[in-house]
Amino acid sequence: MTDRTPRQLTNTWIILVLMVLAGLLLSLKVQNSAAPLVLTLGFLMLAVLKARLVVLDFLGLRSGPRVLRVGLIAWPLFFSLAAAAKALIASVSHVG
Amino acid sequence: MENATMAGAAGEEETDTFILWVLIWSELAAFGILIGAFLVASMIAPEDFAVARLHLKPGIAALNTLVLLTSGWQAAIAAGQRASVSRRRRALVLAALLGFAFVAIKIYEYSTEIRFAGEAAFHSFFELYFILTGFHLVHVGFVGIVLLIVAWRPRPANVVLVTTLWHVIDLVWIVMFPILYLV
Repeated sequence: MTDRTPRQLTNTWIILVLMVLAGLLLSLKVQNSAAPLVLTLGFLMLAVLKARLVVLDFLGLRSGPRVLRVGLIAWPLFFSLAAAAKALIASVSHVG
Repeated sequence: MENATMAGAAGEEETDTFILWVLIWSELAAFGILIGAFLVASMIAPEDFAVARLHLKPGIAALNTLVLLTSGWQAAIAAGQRASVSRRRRALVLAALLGFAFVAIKIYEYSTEIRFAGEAAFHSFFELYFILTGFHLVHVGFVGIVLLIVAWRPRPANVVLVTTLWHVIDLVWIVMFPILYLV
């Protein structure tokens, strides 16, 4: 059960919406083509930041058990890092 | 006697929480395996995956991200410590309706993509794409119905269980979105 007030939750939601819109603006730059590495990393970073806010504020784990907080933030971080590594390898092999 | 009843209730709550987190981590493991498979397959056939991805609609997926995050916001309000019963109920119904909107938008998106799935070069991409997003979609639809059932009689313990699961489904989508559509 979250200890955040409705106002704090609304602020978190506004930040999340702004992050989605920022991602959408970035994606318009790469319409119909592959995203350059910097944008790819930007999309993944936004995903981790969004996931972190959901875990801390919506799930109410900002003050909850540390092991759950760390575990739930580590999950999106792990897959985002894996996707970033894949993009990095692809970009290096493309240049090579 | 009263102490024994209270201890029993606390023990039951602890068991509920334990089962909830076992369920959540098993869900995250299942989605993790599928996301991992998608990443590996995209490394094996990078050109095919890059071309197949051009047939997806990231704008519609971004809209769905907004819908799901708004639903998560309402679910968090429903789980607020000081929320009244009527507020909990209203927020749970809104969260569920937004979940159903997500399902409707996703089905529309599928209708624009399904015709490309038959092409041999895109077979592997679309197979994993439909399994991953379809598995997620079933979760959204099913837990959306559970949200409505809990809204009927919003006992705090049930609200916590169902909204926690809802946020995790949200979390999975947040990670899936850039990996499937953008990266």
